Amino acid sequence: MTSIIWDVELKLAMRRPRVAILSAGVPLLLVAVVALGHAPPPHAALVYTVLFTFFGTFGAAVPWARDEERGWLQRIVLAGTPKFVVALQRLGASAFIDLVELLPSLLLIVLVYGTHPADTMRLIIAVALGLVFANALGILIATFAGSLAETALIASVAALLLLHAGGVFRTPDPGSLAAMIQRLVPFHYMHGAIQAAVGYR
Amino acid sequence: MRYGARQALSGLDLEVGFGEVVGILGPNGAGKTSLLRLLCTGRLPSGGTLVILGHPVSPSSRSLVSLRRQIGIAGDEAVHTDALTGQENLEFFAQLGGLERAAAQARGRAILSRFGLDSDADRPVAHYSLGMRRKLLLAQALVHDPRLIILDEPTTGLDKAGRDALRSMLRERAASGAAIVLASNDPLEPQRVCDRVIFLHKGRVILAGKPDELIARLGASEPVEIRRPDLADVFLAATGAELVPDSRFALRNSPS
Repeated sequence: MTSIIWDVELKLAMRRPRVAILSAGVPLLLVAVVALGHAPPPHAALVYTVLFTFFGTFGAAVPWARDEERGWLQRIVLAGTPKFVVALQRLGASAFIDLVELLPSLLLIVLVYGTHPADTMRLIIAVALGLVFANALGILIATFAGSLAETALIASVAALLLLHAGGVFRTPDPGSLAAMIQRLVPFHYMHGAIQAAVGYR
Repeated sequence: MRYGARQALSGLDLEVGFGEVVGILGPNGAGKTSLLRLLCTGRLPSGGTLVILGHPVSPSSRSLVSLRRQIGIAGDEAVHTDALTGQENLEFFAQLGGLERAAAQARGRAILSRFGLDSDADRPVAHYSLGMRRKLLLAQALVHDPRLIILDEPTTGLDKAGRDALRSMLRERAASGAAIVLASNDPLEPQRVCDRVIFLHKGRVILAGKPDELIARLGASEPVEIRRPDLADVFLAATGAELVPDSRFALRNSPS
């Protein structure tokens, strides 16, 4: 089977320059408004974490739900590719494309906040892993949702709940159950890296 | 086979041999598409036994994966990727069907040429007309040389050249040993290309046989008409219902 679905996803991303420009430009604009608007670092870090999480979750969920609705996924499965193989290859390609599209935003954060090189590396790795998790969440939701609208609604709620559980919206008491749970949520580590990048911690 | 409480197919006993082209004929809702879904493993039977290419079909995904690579399907869903070219779409499906990249490229070019799409092979599918997309859909079903070919309304939307090319390719595939099942609303299409036709009505097989024999049998029992009888007349004699071959095949009188 090799990497045919991964290859097609990358080819499609390169064939759609307008989508790529929008996908890179919109988060860059949002990051620029917050970073150059002198938002307090904890608030800025929270906005960036939510933005990157939604970017990854919706970026995977919406195309998956659309391809499910138009029968493309079913056709690929009937051509002899198990659905989990399609999901894994799409997940890898989608997370990689998301990271490339977010690189200008990450670069702006590093430049505006004067992030230390070690924190810069941590930021890129943590955001990459956060995007993989966000994409996986999006695909999972889209697989079980009944329509595109349902996918969007459930993806929003699930992402926000996981951000909350990951301690993005509040700091749980040390030793509490909530503190234990937040360590299980990958968005927690992405948020920590973003906080370090903006000089909050 | 059931959809909730509704029985879509029942009492079906059907065998398709290698090298045979079998047409499934019947009005809308007769169960043609349900039967094709079973044959392409898109649905599993709620009872009975289904054996495809010698393999009993079970929910075990391992056996289904290898089986599915040997099946070519063209339904009515637009499963192209518009941003890719026609050639790239075919290469993609050929590789999914198990061909190596070089073989997939060669097969893609060859089959696009058979459908008269060679000059459009490197254009994005987004620029294709409806008829061209239909040809590409059929090419996707045939590109990996499947052993079982399943086509739903294959000639819908095709021009004469496309229909001729499809018939000739189906005959070639059958001659090389592929089993072919096509469902149609148009009685003339199975009459032209099929070795055997099966009439479905309300989920049951009501008649089956070679097109010429069925028509000849009808000729012996029915009053002589000026026009030559066709498979629509066979259906009328068997069910009392009339299939009207206009642009779409409609059921005029449903039998009680």
